[in-house]
Amino acid sequence: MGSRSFKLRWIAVCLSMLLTIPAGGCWDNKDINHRSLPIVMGIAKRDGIYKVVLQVPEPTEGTTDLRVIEGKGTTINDIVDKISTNMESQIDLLHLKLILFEDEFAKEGLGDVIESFMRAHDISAKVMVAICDEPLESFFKNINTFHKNNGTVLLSFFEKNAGWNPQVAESSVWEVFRSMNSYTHDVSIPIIRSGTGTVIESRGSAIIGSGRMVGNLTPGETLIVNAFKGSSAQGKIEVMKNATVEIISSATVHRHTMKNGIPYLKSKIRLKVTLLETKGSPSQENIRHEVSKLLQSRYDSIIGKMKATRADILATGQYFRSNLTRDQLEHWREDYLPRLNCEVEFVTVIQNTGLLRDS
Amino acid sequence: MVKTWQVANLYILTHIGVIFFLYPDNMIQAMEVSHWIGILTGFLLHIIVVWSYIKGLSLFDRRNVVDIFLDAGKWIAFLLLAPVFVYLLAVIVISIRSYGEMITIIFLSSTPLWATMLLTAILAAFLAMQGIEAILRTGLLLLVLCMPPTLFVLFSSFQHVDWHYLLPLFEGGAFQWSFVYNRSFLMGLLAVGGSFVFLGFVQPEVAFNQRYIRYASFLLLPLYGIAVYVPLLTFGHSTASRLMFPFIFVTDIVEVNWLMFERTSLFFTMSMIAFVLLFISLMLWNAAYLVQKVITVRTWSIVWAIAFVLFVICVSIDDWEQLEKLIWWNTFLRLYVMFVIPGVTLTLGLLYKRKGGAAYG
Amino acid sequence: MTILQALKHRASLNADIRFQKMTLSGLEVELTGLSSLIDFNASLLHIQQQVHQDTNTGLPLESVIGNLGPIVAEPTEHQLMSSMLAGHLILWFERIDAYVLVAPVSRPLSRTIEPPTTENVLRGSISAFVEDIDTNIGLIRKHVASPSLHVHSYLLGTIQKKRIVLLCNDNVVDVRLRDAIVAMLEKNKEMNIQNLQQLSTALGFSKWSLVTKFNTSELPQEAETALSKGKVVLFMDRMPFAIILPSLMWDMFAVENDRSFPVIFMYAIRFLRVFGVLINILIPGLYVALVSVNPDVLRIELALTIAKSRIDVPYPSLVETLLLLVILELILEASIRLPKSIGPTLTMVGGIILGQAVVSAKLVSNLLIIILAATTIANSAVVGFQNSVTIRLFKYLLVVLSAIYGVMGLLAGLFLVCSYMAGVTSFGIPYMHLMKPRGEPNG
Repeated sequence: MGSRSFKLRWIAVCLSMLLTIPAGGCWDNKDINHRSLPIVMGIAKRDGIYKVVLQVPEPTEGTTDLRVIEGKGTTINDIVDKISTNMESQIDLLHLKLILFEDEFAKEGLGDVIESFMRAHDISAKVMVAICDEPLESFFKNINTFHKNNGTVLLSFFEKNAGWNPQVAESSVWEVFRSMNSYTHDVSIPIIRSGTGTVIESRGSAIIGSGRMVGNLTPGETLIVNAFKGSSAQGKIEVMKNATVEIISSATVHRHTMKNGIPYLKSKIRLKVTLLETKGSPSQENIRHEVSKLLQSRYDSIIGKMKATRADILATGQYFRSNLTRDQLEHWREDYLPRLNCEVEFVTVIQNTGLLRDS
Repeated sequence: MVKTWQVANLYILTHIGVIFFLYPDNMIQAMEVSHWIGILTGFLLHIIVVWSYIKGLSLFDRRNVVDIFLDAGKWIAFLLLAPVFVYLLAVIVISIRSYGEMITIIFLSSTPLWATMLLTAILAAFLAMQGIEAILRTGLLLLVLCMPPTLFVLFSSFQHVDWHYLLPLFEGGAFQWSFVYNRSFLMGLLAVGGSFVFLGFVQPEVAFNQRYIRYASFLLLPLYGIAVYVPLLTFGHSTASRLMFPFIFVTDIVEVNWLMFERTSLFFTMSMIAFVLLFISLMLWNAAYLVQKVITVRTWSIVWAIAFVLFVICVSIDDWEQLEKLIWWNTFLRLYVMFVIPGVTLTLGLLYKRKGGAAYG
Repeated sequence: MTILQALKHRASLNADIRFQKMTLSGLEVELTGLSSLIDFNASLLHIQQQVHQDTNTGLPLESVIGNLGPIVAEPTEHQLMSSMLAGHLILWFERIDAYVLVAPVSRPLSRTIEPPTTENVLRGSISAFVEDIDTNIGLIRKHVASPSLHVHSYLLGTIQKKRIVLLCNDNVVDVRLRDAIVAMLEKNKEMNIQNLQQLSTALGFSKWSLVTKFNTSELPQEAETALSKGKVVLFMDRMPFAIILPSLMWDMFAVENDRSFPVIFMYAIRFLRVFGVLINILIPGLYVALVSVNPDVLRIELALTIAKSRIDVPYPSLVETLLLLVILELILEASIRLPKSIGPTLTMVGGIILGQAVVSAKLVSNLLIIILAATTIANSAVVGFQNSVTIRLFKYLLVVLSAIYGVMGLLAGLFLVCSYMAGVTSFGIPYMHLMKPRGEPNG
């Protein structure tokens, strides 16, 4: 290439680059301190009208204040838009971390809302979903009296490497969306309310079937769900009549068969526990037995709830995918789930007895 | 100069660029179960097409398709290559338009589409005007820069996978190959037969050893598999089929706690866009090369001219539906490029060899 | 008027032209030369001794004169003048009207060999090139004691002659490269070359190139490596460094001195440099992109912290970044200009201003300070100042693009830089090439 043509090339490139800048440029350019980044959104529906509460951390000199903004309207986007016009900075839902539904609304059905969240690209599909079983107004009011200058306190509660605990169900928007579309996969989402000593009080979890809250689980049952799904039940303390143990690890194996159109599922959950507290001196055999019995009864109660609500929160249908045709799978919840024959065996291993020798 | 590695690298990267955006969606729409059959079918098509193409090329001593066809006759060459030219232009328009759209959806919600498309067009044209060797070398740089994040995200995308969704492996009419006539499947061939044509254009400036290209083509199989199966395994078919960009969505929900960034999908999408830019500039260069065989113009001027015209066309496409229509029309051209060009090359090659031309293999 | 008289006439314009009469074995002789270049007393002594010896051995007069130096065949004033400027002593034998050029004892106008001033060496030879071109060639000869090392000398220029020496190792050199350079030097014999820019024009490089086409080094060790890899080394008179052609991208990351460490450390160090370059190019742009366009990418905690630090900052992040970047560039530039004794003051003032005052005055956010500090530090990790300039420039492209397109702009900038670098070639050798001794190129 001659240097002349080279020069021309450069001029061409520079010109075309320069053209884009004065042509308005910077369409999305809005500095972070001019954006409000709500991290919690509470949604309630009363008399067909949505009520949205946003919790926005407001960075100020030194500390972060929490601001709670409310709005009412016919659609959620409309409300957010209204709030945004009234605020001094633009509302950006990009950093939304938690969406709280009032339990009444959850029972009515979350389908449309979840779908619109999935559709909107400014809301991450990773947003956690939870149900609040007290009115949103009082929830946010109580939250705010605690930890006034810690903007992310609600998040830590759900974050795996922070305050999360196996008794709390974990569910995000995409998981709820999947359960709405999937034939064999439902979810449970945590139920919380504002606490008295702690910020939040966990109230177990809600069974979501086809986008509606159809039942609820106790914290203890939620633990089994988490263990069954294979996410660890580590660190959970189980209290029994004679002893308290801490679960160190859990492992699950499933076996499935299909006989005469009746699905059979045999599961084996191995728990490794350590002794924390004993009353009197129960034998190890005793403790093992007691742990298994306790968990067994919880498991049975979950299965009962599943069959009653037709919501497969343990995703048991997944194991029978190869046994059923696609059309049959589509009717898993109605035709097969109620007939599901579930057996579970809890194998408890007392890994150690703490620093004391077992007397 | 022999640059087998660079050519193989470019071949892989340009495919990666197109595999992860539209292909998963197309495949998921095309079939309900047993997607692996569709993937394998596509891959076998790819292998057959590419292998016969490079076999045909290798029968000539370092010559490109244009020269080979010109030997057969000026008008034959023109008739054979004119559809290729139109195909290239259409592919460029489709890529610029669809990736521009995706960029606005993912990163820049208020930026007008023309701005992102202008950026894409300028970047691609800038690279294309510097010629094939620069494109090859850029491929190497991008490999070094973009491969680590790409691999990282590819591995981490398995985070939410539920292997049960893999089942059932055999079901329904998958083996009747009825999906082959499915519109979505045919549109998905963009990822299968998208960029291989360039292999015939790079010689004699850049030579390559056909054996390594063949090895490289096997690397594509796991990529096709991951692109389709990871969304399926994460969401199940019924959910995945509702998503516009299934794979990108999967990378979006990956949680990596120790990173200072919230979205790992960002790195992935960025790398993919880089590879796509590479792909567009390669196609642009190919198109410019064809023009240069007809009229003598400088590379840079013809590249910018084509880029400008195509940019105008891109701007005039109003919505996604029109774009899908264009992709559909272009599918016929693609089938032509996939089957006729390699076929003719191979036939000419065999004839040439029988006549006792240069006895190179 | 003899030529000498004309020269004498010139002496009124040049105070350092000196004339001296003397007798050498009975012959009247007049000496002329530049006293600023020649040590006259020592030279006279030297000439006298030589003539004395020669006459004692009974040589004829012609041989005695011939032994002193070449006789100028057809002397002109212009020719004598330029010989004088080149540092020769001219002897005029009045009786036979002959001009003889004598190599005199020169004044020591060059430094002695010293450690390098712009490059640091750990565990390696620390002698550096000096202004004297012959010393430099000597240094190379010491390092490469090979018969295949060839030295070609060229005199370029019409008004001011400049000596340029080309060195290459004929066993391994890329022949096309060498021939192309030689051809360009031959072709541009008339060009006056005083600096690298002119040399670049003489070698036919584009003026608008953004990457340096010459790799320069003060270290004979580096020049030696370059030679052994098949590159060509040029020396320009009075330039205390070797000019290595072609300059390649890998030169940004690798120095020969790395090989003084075990292989793992060598790779670690080089990786660090690559990382440094990436940080330098990407981070300011990333800041602009994340703060202004794509804050969703940041973790919420980080987003809030940044938002906190940016409260009351009056302008957009693009202006903020450019402002501080320019100040940093000024500091860099100023510390080159300043005498060594004032340099620390500048650093202190810069440190205080940037570290504290700007932040507390709410002119910029304190995160930006950290980012720009990292950028500047990373900038210096690159081998060779000429390369760091290139990177400094690319940084701005990325910052501007990021302000418009966010992270997409960052990628666009990176892509532009990559494709630009991939397109650069010198003498047909691509910038991204990995030089190997006369092998097939692989990069």
